[in-house]
Amino acid sequence: MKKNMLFNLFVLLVLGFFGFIVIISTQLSYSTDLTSIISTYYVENFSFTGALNIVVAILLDFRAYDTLGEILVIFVTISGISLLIGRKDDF
Amino acid sequence: MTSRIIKTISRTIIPFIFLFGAYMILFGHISPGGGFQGGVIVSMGIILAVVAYGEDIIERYKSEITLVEILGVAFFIFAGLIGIFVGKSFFSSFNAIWLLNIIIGVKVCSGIVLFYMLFIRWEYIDND
Repeated sequence: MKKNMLFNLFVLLVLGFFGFIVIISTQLSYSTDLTSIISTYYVENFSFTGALNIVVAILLDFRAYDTLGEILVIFVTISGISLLIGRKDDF
Repeated sequence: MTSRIIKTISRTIIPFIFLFGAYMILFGHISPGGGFQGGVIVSMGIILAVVAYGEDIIERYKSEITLVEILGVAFFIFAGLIGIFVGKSFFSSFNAIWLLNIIIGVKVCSGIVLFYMLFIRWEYIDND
């Protein structure tokens, strides 16, 4: 039990170290400032998306991949429920 | 489960629920709202009709609703591919947020109705 916990802690440290290396190397390769904030860019430039509503502009333009994943979550959930409790002659 | 009060009130209120949901979907880009919220509101109107008048009014359209659900996912990905065809990147800006709102609204509406129809069946089975 004790040994297993120590091993898990070791794995956590190693994975965290590699994640930190990936983040630092990515940021340095793009030569960006680590403390820069992107949200001010959205507030100043959301009007060129054609929307007056900044929430919809971020959801459907800047972060459209997030919306695609949200839609796929509902689709996969309905597929799973149909598989589990649906009848054979349903769909 | 249903009574005359529920039938009368839902018959009066369902067109206004549909109107409010359609307003939320179609005006999502210039006012608070959006496709997801409007789709959920329209599906609540359909669910209210099913509660009041029984699930026989929606049971025969189940395969069509499933088809709309599947085509919604496909149309959303195709709408993202428009950005590639006009020379930009995937899901880049092409000033058609209203189109994405309509697709999301129809798809979420059919999805919530399918959820309800899949779960309500066991309620009737327990009551019988």
